[in-house]
Order: sequence, then structure tokens, then C-alpha cells
Amino acid sequence: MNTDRGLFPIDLTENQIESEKSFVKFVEEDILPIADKIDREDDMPESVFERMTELGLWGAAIPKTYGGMELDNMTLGLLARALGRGNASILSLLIVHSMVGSVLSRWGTNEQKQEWLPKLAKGDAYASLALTEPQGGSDASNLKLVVEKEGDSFRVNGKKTWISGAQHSDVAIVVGSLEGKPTAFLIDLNEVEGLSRKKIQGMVGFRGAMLAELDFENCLIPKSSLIGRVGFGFSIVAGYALDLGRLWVSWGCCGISESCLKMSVDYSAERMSFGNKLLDHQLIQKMIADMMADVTSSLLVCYHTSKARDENGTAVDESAMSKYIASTASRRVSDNALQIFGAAGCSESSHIQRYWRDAKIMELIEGTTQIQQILLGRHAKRYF
Amino acid sequence: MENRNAIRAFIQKRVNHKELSDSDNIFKLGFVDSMFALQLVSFVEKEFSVVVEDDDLVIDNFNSVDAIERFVNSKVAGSVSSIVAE
Ligand SMILES: Cc1cc2nc3c(=O)[nH]c(=O)nc-3n(C[C@H](O)[C@H](O)[C@H](O)COP(=O)(O)OP(=O)(O)OC[C@H]3O[C@@H](n4cnc5c(N)ncnc54)[C@H](O)[C@@H]3O)c2cc1C
Repeated sequence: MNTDRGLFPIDLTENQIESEKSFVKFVEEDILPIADKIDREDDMPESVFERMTELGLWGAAIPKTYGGMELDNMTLGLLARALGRGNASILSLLIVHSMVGSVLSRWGTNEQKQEWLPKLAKGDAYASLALTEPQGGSDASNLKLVVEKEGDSFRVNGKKTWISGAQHSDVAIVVGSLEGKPTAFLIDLNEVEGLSRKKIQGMVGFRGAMLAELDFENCLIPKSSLIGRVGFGFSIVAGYALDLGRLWVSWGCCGISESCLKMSVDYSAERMSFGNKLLDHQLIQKMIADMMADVTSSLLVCYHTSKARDENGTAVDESAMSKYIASTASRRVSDNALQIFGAAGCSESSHIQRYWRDAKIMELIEGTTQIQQILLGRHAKRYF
Repeated sequence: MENRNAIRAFIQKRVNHKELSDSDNIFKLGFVDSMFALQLVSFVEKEFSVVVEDDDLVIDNFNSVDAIERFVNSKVAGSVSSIVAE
């Protein structure tokens, strides 16, 4: 193993290497110093949004034609990896915003693209993706939010909950049931009458992801809100978003795991116990070895999935595999890190306890661990 | 015929090699899950160099080997006629 190039030296182009350097610089200078404060205060400071606007990051996944950066899937992954090291809430806000941007670029009408993509790319408007309902998120096509045709409009009734960014987002893709079929709509949240937002705080992790419940009561939205066609809201629109979302979450998990591993190695190489460095005790070495294996396998599968997505446009099975491997790995790695740090890792002044809480959330969002397992198990036969 | 074979091979793999005729409605038979549609769209675009537009998202275009072949042929014919028109 070439130690100069890190644990897993992935092959990157010059551009990708330069981009990663700038992402890491942003995270080290602007995010890490305030990462624990964001978590403690359960809120995202305006300065973070502004800095991301200056760097053009809101347009990371949006085509250049609309003022975005149009980054390839490998570079997007490197951005998520850096943000995972920094603060998972910021990553999650950027993920949902980018999922909406990328869905609109692919499946939006011309009018929707022209109206929203330039604003989303510049950070002049923020977006959320609203799938989950109070009765459940995993059974996502069993929708209770009902949309009915009414003249030249649609009438919307129902609730969406645990929606990242929804405390402040201007627009959301909302999937509801129209004629009994899952269908996606682009809703201007500032214009729609009858919508109430309820702030959600005090989650175990992702404290700063600006979660809210959206309650649509007899809301009228224009006919032009439809994205794609009736019945394709889950399989195509949400599916396309989740394909990107899962990849990004996976790379974010790599960031968490790598930070936990590095901090654990540094700490255990210094800390003394029973007259020896922690790192000299074999039970600690076992934990570190497990962490190295988890980090390496997570990076490998993410690298593979980014490549597949760059080549094929989507990578459904690969994204599910990445999400499964990297999120379960980051839960184990952060747990080992907390064990190695002992009480010091549990203190609110340590990043470790935050990584540990955020890693658990990673196993729930964009499809839980069980949902990825079901998907992979169901698709297994096609490979043999 | 070549198009049909490629489509059949793609679908056959995704229905866990169950018995399937070219006219069988794969959605009605419940042979595929929600992520299948997205994979099918990506396959059609890549394999036949066509672009699936939001207007094309009609279940009748994708529900059987026969339907997908018809859809691909009409898209290919459409792109040829637009090149000729230019
Ligand atoms: C911080 C945070 C941010 C979020 N942001 C968003 C957002 O922006 N947009 C959005 O739409 N949603 C969001 N969510 C919701 C998230 O997507 C859901 O929590 C997730 O899909 C699971 O749904 P649920 O919590 O209702 O659990 P349920 O679906 O009720 O599942 C409960 C448990 O049962 C398991 N389970 C369910 N079905 C099966 C089965 N068939 N077999 C085996 N096990 C099963 C699940 O894996 C889970 O462990 C967010 C959640 C969190 C915590």
C-alpha cells in the first residue's frame, strides 16, 4: 500500500483532484470550526448558505446552461465526502437541493426548468424533496397525500414529514396520489395558500438539517406543477432523485468514517493505558483494523458507483449497494471511534459523538438499511 | 429483430428469468419493482441512443417487450426524420 496516497488511492483526474482540494479547504476553514455549534444549536447559520453561494455549490449538480457547475458523479462524490467530514446537516441540505435540481434538469418541463433552475443554481432559492408521510417512509408508494384535478388546477390535501430544509425551502418536489397513482409535483412553497410548516428539532442527529412537517390543507396548485406523467412520481421522478441521493449519502458516510478513523489512530497513538500506548493494545488494533477495512470498502464501492453513474446516467443497484455498505460501515466505524475515545469522545466538545449520532441517521435516509437489503436481495438473481 | 432481442434479454434478466412472452404486461404481472422503470429508461437511452422525454412517460410505451420495441422504433424513426428535415 502506498502510504503517501492515503488508505485507498482512487484514480482521479487533475480537475477532480483540484476540486477536491477546494472542497476540503472550504470544509476545514468554514465548516469544521462551527460544526459542533450548528449541532448544539440545532440550526444552520445564514453565513453557511452565503459561503456556499459564493462557491457556487448550490449548483453543483445543475447543468451549466442554467448557471450550475454540472459536476460529474465522481466530483459530486468528492464534495459529499468532504462535507461528510465537516457536518452531515450541511451535506443533507445540499443533497436534497441537488436531487431536486437534477430531477428538474432531467424530467422538468421547459417552463419549470427556466423558472427554477437558474435560481436553484445560484442559491437564490432552496429546494426540498418531500416523500415521507406520517404513516411511513419505507412504503413510499402507499401515499396518503391526495391530489385531485380541479379545472385548470390541482387540489392537494395531506402531510409530509421529516423533510430536510423545509423550514426555509422555497420550492419542493412533492409526491402524492393522483387518480390513485404516485405522481410528482413541483410546488412553490411561498405562493401556495393553505400550507403550514411545523419546525422539527431535537433529532438524535442531523441537528441543523432544518427539518419540518408540511401540512397541505386544500391547497390549489397550477396544472403546470406536474413533473413527468401521472403514475411516474415514484418510479421515475423520486427514483431518479434517490439514485443520486444514495450515492451522495454513501460518499458522505465515507467522510464520516475517514474522520473517525484518522482521529482514532492519532488519539490511540498518544493516549497511555497500562503503561502502553492504546494503539499497542491488540484489542484496540482489532478495532482500528476493522475501521480500516470499513473505510476502504466504503471508498471502493462509492468510487465504483460514481463511475457507473458517469457511464450510464443511473446506477440503481450500485447506489443501493454503496448506501448499504457505506452507511452501515460509518455506524460501526463511529461506534469504534467512540469506544476508543472513551469519555472524551462523548463530550460535546468532541466531533466523535456528533459523527456517531449522524452516522445512525445515515442508515435511515434515502431508504433505510432494510430497504437497500430488500432491493439488493430482490435483484440478486439477475447477476447469475 | 436485433432491438427485440436486446430488449428481451434486458427484461428477462430483471424478471428473475420467469417465463415471459413478448406481449406479456410485465407491470400487471407484478414481475418488476418500482426501480425497474428507471433502469428501463436508462437502458433504452443507452442501448438505442434515443432520449426519453417527459412526454414519453406513458406506461403503454414500456409495459411489454412488444411495446418497448414499438416505442424504440418510433423514437429512432423520429430522430432520423428530424435529421432529414434539417
Ligand atoms: C434527519 C432526517 C432527514 C430526513 N429527510 C427527509 C427528506 O428530506 N425527505 C423525505 O421525504 N424524508 C426524509 N426523511 C425521512 C426518511 O426518509 C424516513 O425516515 C425513512 O424513509 C424511513 O421511514 P420511517 O421513518 O417512516 O420508518 P418506517 O418506514 O416506518 O420503517 C420503520 C422500520 O421498519 C423497517 N422496515 C420497513 N419496511 C420493512 C420491510 N418491508 N422489511 C423489513 N423492514 C422494514 C425500516 O427499515 C425501519 O427500520 C428524513 C429522516 C430523517 C431522520
